[in-house]
Amino acid sequence: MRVLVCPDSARVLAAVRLSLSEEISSSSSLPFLPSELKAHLAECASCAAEAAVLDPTLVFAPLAASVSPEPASTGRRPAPPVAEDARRVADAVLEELRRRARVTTPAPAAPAASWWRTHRVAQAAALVALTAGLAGLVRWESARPAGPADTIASAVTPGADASAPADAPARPLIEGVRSPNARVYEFASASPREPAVVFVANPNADL
Amino acid sequence: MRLVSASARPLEPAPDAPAIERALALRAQAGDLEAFATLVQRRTPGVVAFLRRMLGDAEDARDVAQITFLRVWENIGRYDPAWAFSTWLFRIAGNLAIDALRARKTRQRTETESFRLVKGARTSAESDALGALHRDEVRRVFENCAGVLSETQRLVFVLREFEEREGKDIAAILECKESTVRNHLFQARRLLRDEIRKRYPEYAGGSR
Repeated sequence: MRVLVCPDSARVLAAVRLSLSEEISSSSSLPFLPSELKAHLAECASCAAEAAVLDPTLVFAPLAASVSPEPASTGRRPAPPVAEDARRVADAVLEELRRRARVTTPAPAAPAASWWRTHRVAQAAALVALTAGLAGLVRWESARPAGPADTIASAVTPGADASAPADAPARPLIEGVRSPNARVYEFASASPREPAVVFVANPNADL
Repeated sequence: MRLVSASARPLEPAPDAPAIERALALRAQAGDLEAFATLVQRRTPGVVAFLRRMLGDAEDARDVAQITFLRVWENIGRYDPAWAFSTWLFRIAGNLAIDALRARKTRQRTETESFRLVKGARTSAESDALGALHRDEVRRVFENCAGVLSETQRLVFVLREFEEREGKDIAAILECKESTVRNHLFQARRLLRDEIRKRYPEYAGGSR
């Protein structure tokens, strides 16, 4: 026998029935139980018992945020207040983010080191350009057709013929070298296939 | 009607929060750590409370809350200001909570333990009326019954019934249609009713 009946019982149950009817209706809105009603169910055992008959999930009304801002915890140890936990979480997160920021932000480079790095890059670029230029010059030199100067450079003195092999091609005379100060250096070839290398050093040459 | 008025929700920022937080989030996108720090301080209480309701364990809630904010910072470039910052934040928190619940299921942790606690508590208070239940016990009843829910059903139920969020907010958090939210909520309630009637008939107006 129910001893104590809440005066709001009828209205509370009507609201619960309305919420249940909304649940099965085709309305797009979600069934809604006002926060005031949940708070009442958390306080009033009579209404809570009657409402739970209609909808047993209303036993969870005391867990709603509007009723109990401090959520319960089923953990093994008593839970600290949310505000305390929140402060710990915020502190830990911000400490971690600031640590990451320190690690990932590079220290500003000293001006001299920065200049030197740039300078080294420029040096490397210049070295590459110089090497490429020299290589191109050497190729151009070797591919260039023989001209009058080469005739002079390739000439040998008559006395040098004695050391030449018998089947070596006849060397041209140095007709263009008439200066008495001119000197001719010949480097004999290592094999018959290779030509001898001859240098003519003439300080009076008109270049 | 003599109803007890609902208490204020001190864990929630002020109503003008969306505009303020959107501006802070945009500054954070530009690398402003202090703006993000302000967001963290504003939103941590609500996120921790939500995760406690979702996970039922303060320690787990704290861990997941930390991961949530670190994940938010790592992905702040993806924040779309068309959404409220809190919607995006709770989407990440909700997904991480689901991951945590799945991991917990895998470990099969605490299920039997908490059931034993509830049984013990209920036996000692068997003659009490429903109104005498403490919130902690209600919480344990929920934890035991919510095992029948999928993670998404649980998330929807917690967001709607405990966090008291609107359907469109929940749809935005879950990135689904409101009709889908409605369906999840309907299924969750049905499963919970059945489970309460089966395991705790005295709470459903019956007797054991």
